[in-house]
Amino acid sequence: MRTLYRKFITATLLILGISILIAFILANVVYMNSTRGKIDQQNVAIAQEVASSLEQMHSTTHLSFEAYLDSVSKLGYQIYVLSENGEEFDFGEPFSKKNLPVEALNVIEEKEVYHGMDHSPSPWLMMSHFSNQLDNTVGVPFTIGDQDFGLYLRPNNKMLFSDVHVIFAWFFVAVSIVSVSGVIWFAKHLIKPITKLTEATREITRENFTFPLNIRRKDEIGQLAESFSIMQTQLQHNDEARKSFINNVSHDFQSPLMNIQGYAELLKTQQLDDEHREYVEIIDQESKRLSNLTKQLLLLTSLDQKSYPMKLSVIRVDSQIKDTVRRHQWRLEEKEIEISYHLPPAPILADPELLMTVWDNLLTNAIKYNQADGSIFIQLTQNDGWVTITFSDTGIGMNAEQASKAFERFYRVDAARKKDGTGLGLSIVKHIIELHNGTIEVESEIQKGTTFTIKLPIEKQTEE
Amino acid sequence: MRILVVDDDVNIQRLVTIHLTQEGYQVFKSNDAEEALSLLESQNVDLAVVDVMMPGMNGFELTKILTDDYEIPVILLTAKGQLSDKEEGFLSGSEDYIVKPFEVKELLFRVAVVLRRMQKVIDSVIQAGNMRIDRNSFEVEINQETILFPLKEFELLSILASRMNKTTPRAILIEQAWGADYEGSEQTLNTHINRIRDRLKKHQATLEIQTIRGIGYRLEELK
Repeated sequence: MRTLYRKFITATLLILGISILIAFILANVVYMNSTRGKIDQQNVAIAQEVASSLEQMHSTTHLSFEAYLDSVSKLGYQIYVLSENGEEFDFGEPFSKKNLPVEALNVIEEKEVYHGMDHSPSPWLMMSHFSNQLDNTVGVPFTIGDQDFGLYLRPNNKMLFSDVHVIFAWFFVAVSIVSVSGVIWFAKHLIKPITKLTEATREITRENFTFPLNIRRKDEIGQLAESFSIMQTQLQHNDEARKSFINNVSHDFQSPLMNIQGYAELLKTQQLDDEHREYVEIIDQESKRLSNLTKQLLLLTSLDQKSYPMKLSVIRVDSQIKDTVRRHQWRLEEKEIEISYHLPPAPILADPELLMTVWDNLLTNAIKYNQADGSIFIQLTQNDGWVTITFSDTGIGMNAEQASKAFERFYRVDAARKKDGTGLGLSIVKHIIELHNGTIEVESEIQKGTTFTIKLPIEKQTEE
Repeated sequence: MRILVVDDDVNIQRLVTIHLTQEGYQVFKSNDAEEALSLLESQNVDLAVVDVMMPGMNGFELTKILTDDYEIPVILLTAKGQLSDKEEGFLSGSEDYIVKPFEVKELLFRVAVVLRRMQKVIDSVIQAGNMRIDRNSFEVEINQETILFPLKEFELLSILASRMNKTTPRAILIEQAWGADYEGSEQTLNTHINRIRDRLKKHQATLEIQTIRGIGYRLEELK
């Protein structure tokens, strides 16, 4: 969240800079169009007054006006006097550049007023108003005795920037500092709850609905936080409802199904004629199918959600498979199928419950589709960060086309294989293996058998 | 053998009882943990089949009492197929667990396995030639490959292996594998022994079962 914070401050500084620029341009326009003319007029008026005072002195030598002009300069003016003979006199602060343009000399020759302040050479910037050069002055003519003079004058910059200006400058700096640091503080204050909300959102994806927000505000963010809290409770409620539904389906449905199955099986052991035996058989098979179907559909529905919450932990593939074999041993014995395996210890990072489903499905298939006196062989090998597990059976097998469709949902090879199958088992297996970034392949030959090869990474690559 | 069945579902309780009785076990029924514990004050049982989800004291707590205080092996019936349940089951000390819905045959098989494991007649691990028999896990290992033999064949092979190079009379083999009151024909024993021979050969065991005419069988190392 530091980026949002940084963006906020950058934006503030940028706005500050742009506003200064725009204000400067606007001020410039105003200055060019009216202020500059007015200032020039004012200074011309002052210069003419000074000139007329000088003419009324009736003095004959230029020495006499020096004292007067010296005093005038002390009131805050820079003054330059040029006689028709080319004599120069400076009063007050000297000019940095004595670059009188040609038209300024008209003051002496033609007795015309020079408007240097209205026609300053760099017309684009009002800063030229403060340029300390001789061309940036107003010029008026005056005559003492029979000699013509030009009086050029402009206000002294030092006098223009009075104490008030300094105070205003500091005022401006202080305002800038306070507003910038205010913005920084405000941004922090504004972004903090957003950071917290993000954290809470992340917790929700981990199914934690009780992350405390502790945001008490009355603005839009406060409202957002309030809605978020309401959403949290709602989500928690929904999650609980969903879980209890799944629980009910898997438990409360299975108990009655188990009774139907069990009592149907009990009936089978009784003396029955062929027709009734067949009916009982159907009840038995169909109840098994329904029980499988509910379990697998539930699993498939949750797997279909885009981000299935995998509960990863280090598990022993070998012990999982051995456990599965042990649970099916009675069925193997009943069908007289020999099972052998080579399972060295193989710990991997995976979701234990999902993988258990994989082994269960593969073994169930290997038993279901095996032949009398058949066998099953399970092998596990490890290399290059991968665990390879093969399930080989000597069953009825499939042809190439059937094998290629084996992982499709609801695909069943033929009616003879209906039994209690749902056509979902292998599609679930594939789905789970892919969730673990593994692969599954099938190789099969009719009347020879089928081999499933599964490859699983030892450390599941994180995909975020 | 006496078995205690604890389940609050009367239909399942009855179903399990019928099947266990048919197999020749003596069955005691109770609806909950309290009833089971009071029944144990007057009766001795060899094994208990306990449901996890019960009103009052649950199956895990009952299992803990049965295994710790009474030393009775327990098979848990769990409703949800969830691993956390299974782990909790083993933590509470159960010998085995079965996930509902189970087929009754599965239960019968597991009951037999647990009861056999409890009878410590022979050493738990027997080594003969390149074959290793684990009587706890019922595994036979030949050439680093594990084979699960059918229970009867496993029993016969482990008796023969524990009496390596000694002749075991047919009557003893039948009694150990099928029980003293077995009434089937002796041909069944021949069939089982032949199957064991096939399996040993298939997995390249360095062992051979010799027929000692008129007496019984003997396990020998191949030369």
